[in-house]
Amino acid sequence: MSPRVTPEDLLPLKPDAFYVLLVLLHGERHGYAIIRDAAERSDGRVTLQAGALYRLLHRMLDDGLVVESQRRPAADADDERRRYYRVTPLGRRTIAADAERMASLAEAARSALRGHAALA
Amino acid sequence: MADFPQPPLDGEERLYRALLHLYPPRFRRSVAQGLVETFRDQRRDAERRGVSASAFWFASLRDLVTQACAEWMSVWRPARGIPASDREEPTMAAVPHALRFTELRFAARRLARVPSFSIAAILVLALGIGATTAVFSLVNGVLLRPLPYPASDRLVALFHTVEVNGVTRADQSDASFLLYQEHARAFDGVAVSQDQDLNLGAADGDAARAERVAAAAVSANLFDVLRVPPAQGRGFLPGEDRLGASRVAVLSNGLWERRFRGGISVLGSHITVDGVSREIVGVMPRGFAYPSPAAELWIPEPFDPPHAQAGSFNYRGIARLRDGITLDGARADLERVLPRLLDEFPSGIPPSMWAQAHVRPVVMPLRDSIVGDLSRLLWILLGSVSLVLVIACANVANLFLVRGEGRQLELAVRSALGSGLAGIVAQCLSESFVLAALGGVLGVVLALLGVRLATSFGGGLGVPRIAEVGVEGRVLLFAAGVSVLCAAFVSLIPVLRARRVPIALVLRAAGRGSSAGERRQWARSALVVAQVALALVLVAVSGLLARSFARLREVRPGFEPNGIVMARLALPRANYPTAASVMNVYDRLLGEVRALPGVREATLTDWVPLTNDHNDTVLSVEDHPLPPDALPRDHFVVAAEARYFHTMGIPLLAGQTFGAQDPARPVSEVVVSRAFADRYWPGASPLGKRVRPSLSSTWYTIIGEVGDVHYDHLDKPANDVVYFPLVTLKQENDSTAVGPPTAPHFVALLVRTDAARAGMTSAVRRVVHAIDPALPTYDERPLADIVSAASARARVTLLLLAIASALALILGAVGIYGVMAYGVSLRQRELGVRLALGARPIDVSRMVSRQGVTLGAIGVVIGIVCALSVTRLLRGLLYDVSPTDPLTLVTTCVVLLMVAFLASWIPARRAASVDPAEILRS
Repeated sequence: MSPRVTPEDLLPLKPDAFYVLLVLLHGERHGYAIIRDAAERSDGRVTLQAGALYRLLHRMLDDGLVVESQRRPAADADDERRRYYRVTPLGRRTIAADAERMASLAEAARSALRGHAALA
Repeated sequence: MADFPQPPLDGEERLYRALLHLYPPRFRRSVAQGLVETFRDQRRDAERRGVSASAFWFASLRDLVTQACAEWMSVWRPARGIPASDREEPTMAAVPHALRFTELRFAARRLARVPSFSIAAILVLALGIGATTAVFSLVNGVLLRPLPYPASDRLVALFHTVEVNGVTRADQSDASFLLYQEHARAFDGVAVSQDQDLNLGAADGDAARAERVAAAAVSANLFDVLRVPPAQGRGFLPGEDRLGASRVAVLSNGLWERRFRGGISVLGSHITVDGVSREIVGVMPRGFAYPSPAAELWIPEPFDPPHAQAGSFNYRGIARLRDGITLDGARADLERVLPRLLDEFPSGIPPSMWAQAHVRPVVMPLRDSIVGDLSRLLWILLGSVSLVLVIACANVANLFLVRGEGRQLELAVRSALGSGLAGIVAQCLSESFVLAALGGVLGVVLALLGVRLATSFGGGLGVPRIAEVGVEGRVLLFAAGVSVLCAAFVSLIPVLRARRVPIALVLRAAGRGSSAGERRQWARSALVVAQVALALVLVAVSGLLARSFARLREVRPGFEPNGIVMARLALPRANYPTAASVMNVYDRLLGEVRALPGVREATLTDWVPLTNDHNDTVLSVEDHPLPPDALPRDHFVVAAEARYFHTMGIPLLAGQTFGAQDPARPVSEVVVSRAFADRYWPGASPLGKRVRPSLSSTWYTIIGEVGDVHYDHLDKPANDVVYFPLVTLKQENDSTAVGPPTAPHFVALLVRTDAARAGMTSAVRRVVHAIDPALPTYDERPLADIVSAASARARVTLLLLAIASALALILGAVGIYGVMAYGVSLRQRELGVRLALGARPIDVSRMVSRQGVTLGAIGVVIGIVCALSVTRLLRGLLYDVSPTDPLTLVTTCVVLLMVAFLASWIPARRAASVDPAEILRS
């Protein structure tokens, strides 16, 4: 990926991508762990299937938001080989920027709604 | 968990992994491992949560199919983020994708797995591309590339059209040149030149190195008009092209290197040209050769304005157009100036006679005038090889269709999944691009070989500018363009068919191995019909030319060339001023040559038939008086020694030929050809009648009539010719007074021999050398070579067209064979049933070959219609053969049908040998 990619180029993140990054902020995960955690953190709103997840990961790898982890965590209970994914600094900045963007959107909407309520 | 039905663990994972092939390859390779791991994890989780296997598989498959489709779509999508509704047809988006390096690499890999298909396709394309590229490089070098002079598009040739009996074109006379140079305003310079062969003596008088060189007598400004300055020294100065000016000469680079070993001191030194010493003032740059490709020496023509002759059109004229002047503008300018010609240069021509000749100036781009009639021939050749290329492409497209047959199921599945079209298009495109690229590279190699052959032969055929032909940037660009077109053409039909893959039909039929390919078979049949039609056009064209050539070979030149050797010699006027001195040399020469062992006969003439020699004059015929001011007719005039007719084997039809020619007592007798006699005295004897060269006071009596000889062209009717003796009475230019006797200084010695010719020419050379060591012989060759050279261009054209049509025939046959063979393999089951039900093998094979012949026949019918419109373009290139010659066209059709029959015969035999039991069992 070109090093000149900035978080702004990749905004806004789609909800699925947002949740994948969100999950990975908490540490390296393998594919199924991402699906599980994303569903958990979104209260079941984000239910990824394997194909959808890996298309997402494929794209995010291309964009430099995540990398395949070189290291296999010893902490993992089961003994099977798995591919792990880790968020990159760019991924971190991107989700931060998206969160900021959504926060300001939310703030704008709230204040607008307040004004609307006051008028009414 | 125990009640959960456990499918075989590895089996399910393997199945899932296999299904991942629905994804685009790049994506699949990158994430397949992770997908399988996740699949395993999810499945375990599902088991734990008690989800049924079918529900789990349903969810997984739905995910797989939708995501695979989405991924395929996104692969074709040029940019991410565009809403799906705004995306264009994926077919077009497939083009850039198909050309991505990775895609091409995959294509190459796919092709490497089917080497026989790939090699066949590459070879066929290489033949087509190579032939087209080779001919294009000829067209490019000869017709398209600018002449090698600065701003050459402004250079024009100047000549005239005239309406005089027997003549339609006239170049420039010294008078018309001087007139245009003085008064025409449309040009930045008007120049003339005249090809000459000159005796070149060595500067130090070394007689052994005397040689004959191709030279040009030119106006002083020729190099300025062409804008080519000499590489050394200077060109000619204004005024050096006038009578009495200092005698100078300019050498070609080749002559300079050959004769003076490239010495710098050559400027200012002297050479002897036709017995006259000339100072060398310049050396032209390498590669400069004008007016003839062989020109090696330039001398200024000594113009003599007070005595310039308006009507002697002996100079080739060129000019450089002034900026902003068009061809029409220049011609109008000349039309304005021309009427003054007789006012300024009366030349003894009555104005009314001049008016009758309808002399009109013509201005033509110089390149067109140099290339002349070759241009049509080259375009026809290019057209022919393009047809071969189209046939080759059709063949490869056919191969693609056949191959596509095998992958139809795969393609149909892809279509069903919604990703098919773009994928199929990309596959076809990338494969055909790889094939066309390889075919193109190989084709360029073939073209290089072909061009090398063409340039080595073409020079000998007098093809203008052949030395400038080469495979250069534009040719390579052409080859690349042709290759891309081929790729597009080859993938066009499979792609168009792919758009309409009847998915349901294919999928349903897939299990039965039946003939779902019938509709595709139809497409291939159409291709075959097209191939046959195109091949027929080509074969018809070359058939007509072959017949024309055969007719040409039947033309008797009018003399017996075999066994005659020619050697030319030129006597410098300075050394041999009188007819007596000239005839003295000739008599000694003939006497000594006739005494050589092996010589049967020897003679002299000033015009060897079918060479560039030429001499014509207007003649008055005594008993055919012309109306006042009418123009007498122009006739070819040949000077012949007494034994000329006997040596050449020209039959004497009536009367007698010349006796011994004594310069002291010139005879006023002529011999005429049969065509001449028939023109004036059809059915009567010409003997005793008298003719008179115009402007002469001497009447010549016809003493004999001889057979016709083709002096000018083999493919035109024999000319009417008047033979004069070598010694005649000189006619002063501007008076009717009879001058002293005269004899030609340039003659060809013709020796009929029964010995090997190599020894004979050197023997002749020794004889000439013994008579005058400073006298070179040149242009020594057998007369038979001259006759065959006269038809060489036709022969080579024919050869090239024959190769093109042979290729077309072979490719057409391969096409028919391919379609029939594949058709048989598709219908094996049906044929087996027929045989089992009692059909005889002969019936089956007849049925199959009838199909092939039917396809051929349809192609023949379409082809004959095309051929009839195409062969009309050949008019003018054909000798004594009609462009719609029934014999040729019928033969062509029969040949094509035979080929169609033969090509379907092998598949038909295979069909008949089907073992019904085995087929029905399988």
